[in-house]
Amino acid sequence: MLTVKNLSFSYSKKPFITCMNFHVERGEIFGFLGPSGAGKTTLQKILTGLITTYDGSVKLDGIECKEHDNHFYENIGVDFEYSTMYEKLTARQNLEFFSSLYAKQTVKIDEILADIGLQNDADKKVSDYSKGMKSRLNFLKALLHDPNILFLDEPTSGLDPANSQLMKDMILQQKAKGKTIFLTTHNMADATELCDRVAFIVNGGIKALDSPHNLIMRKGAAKVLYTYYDKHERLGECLLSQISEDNVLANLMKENRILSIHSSEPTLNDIFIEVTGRTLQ
Amino acid sequence: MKAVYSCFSQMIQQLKQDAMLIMIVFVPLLAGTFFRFVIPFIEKLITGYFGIDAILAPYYELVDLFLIILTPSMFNYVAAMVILEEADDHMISYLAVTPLGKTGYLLSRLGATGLISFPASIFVSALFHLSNANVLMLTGIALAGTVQGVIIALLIVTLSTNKVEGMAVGKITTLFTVGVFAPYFITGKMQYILSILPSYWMSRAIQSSDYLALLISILLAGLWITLLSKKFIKKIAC
Ligand SMILES: Nc1ncnc2c1ncn2[C@@H]1O[C@H](COP(=O)(O)OP(=O)(O)OP(=O)(O)O)[C@@H](O)[C@H]1O
Ligand SMILES: [Mg+2]
Repeated sequence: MLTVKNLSFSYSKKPFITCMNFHVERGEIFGFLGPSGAGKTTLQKILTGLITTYDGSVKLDGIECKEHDNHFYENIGVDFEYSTMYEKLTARQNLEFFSSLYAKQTVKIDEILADIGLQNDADKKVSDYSKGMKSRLNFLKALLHDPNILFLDEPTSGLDPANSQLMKDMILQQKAKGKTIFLTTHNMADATELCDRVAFIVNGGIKALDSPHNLIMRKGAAKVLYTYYDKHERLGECLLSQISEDNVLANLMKENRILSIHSSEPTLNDIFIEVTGRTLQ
Repeated sequence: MKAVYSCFSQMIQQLKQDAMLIMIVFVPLLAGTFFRFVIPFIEKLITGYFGIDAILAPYYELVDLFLIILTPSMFNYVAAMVILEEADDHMISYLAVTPLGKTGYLLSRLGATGLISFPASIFVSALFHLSNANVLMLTGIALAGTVQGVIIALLIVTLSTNKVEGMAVGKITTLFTVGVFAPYFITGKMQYILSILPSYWMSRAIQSSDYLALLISILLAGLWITLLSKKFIKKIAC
């Protein structure tokens, strides 16, 4: 679906993205993770054909991105990191206008508005929308023409937990329909939940690329941490894989003296810090 | 084409809510009324006072020319303001990733504006013209003015990054029309300095019924448009 070969690009004379290579299969959810300024949005602009001055080859569905014609976009849905709606128009007027740009049959506006919980705000001006409502509406806009490829730039940012879940469910529904989805996010939990594979991007380069599961397993062992009382409160720790060998823990269990116990698996966040030497936010 | 049409009607909808911009479209009518009735009146007064046959009359063609250029300039100024607002809101980047595309967007904003300002310009000159230049020439000038109006819009949107800057640049772009004075007021080879401006050739065309100059003006404006729209498209790339 997407093949990137020796991609290089920079806004200035200073090298930025240099010699990037990766491949994404049809039907995958592929995540770009990285700190602010890493080049995630830039990469999406290249993949969506907005930036055409790159070197190397970027083939989306067999088409070299910088040589695309406008028909290219009949099959691509894009959600930018900021809202791109006519603020003075209502949500419905906006969606009707954007639908009219496609030659292709578009989806029913009332139905998708209901899918994302905006059916009662359809005739409100977008300028009167809250931030989270705008995010949801912008996401809908990317789905209007039922595209096979989706580019979502931070789709869940600024959403409350319930709406974030709603959005994630909708993204997974799109995947179930066989669509290929590219998304960027700062949220490691969302990436772990949604993405088949993720690429860690730092300073315009890919520092790691694998499934969240494999990346986490690479860090290996989960730990067990427990506290107990012995004159004063103490903390014990052992590897989950060697739990039977911890005699202190075994005795505590026998005597029902454990105050608290929990296992801690490494998260994608830990891996990110280890691989890139940086935190996300 | 469907997308271009759709996007154009969207602009009209947008303008309906912006009284300021709609007013600008009526400026040529006001100016035309003023030129048509006030200038001949002044001419009558001063020729009578000085006892000379004609003082302003030799420049009536220039007044006509100015009015014909004014109409598309105003229309394109409005279009440029819409473009700047849409650039500010990142709307253009978004429209660029729909089947409309960057060129389609420019067509819907400037091409369509040209299609309206051309007949509007003919209408204004038919109503208010002072000189006895013939209809064919006036229509030709209206066409050249329409093409040069697009340059005005492109200059505004490539040289400024927001509406406030755009208004300032809009004033500066009136310099682009100073070419009209050269054939009348600058004698000798000096006037050729302004020959890179389509307005210079428009002026020569109406001054001496020179259709070749008219053609040069249109071709020259086409060249300006090509160069400027390339620059603008590059600017909206990211
Ligand atoms: N239009 C532009 N012109 C020049 N430089 C730019 C432009 N857009 C982005 N940059 C620079 O490119 C770098 C990468 O920006 P980009 O927007 O791709 O980051 P990002 O990973 O999406 O960050 P964030 O998580 O904050 O959205 C930054 O240093 C930014 O300043
Ligand atoms: Mg970004």
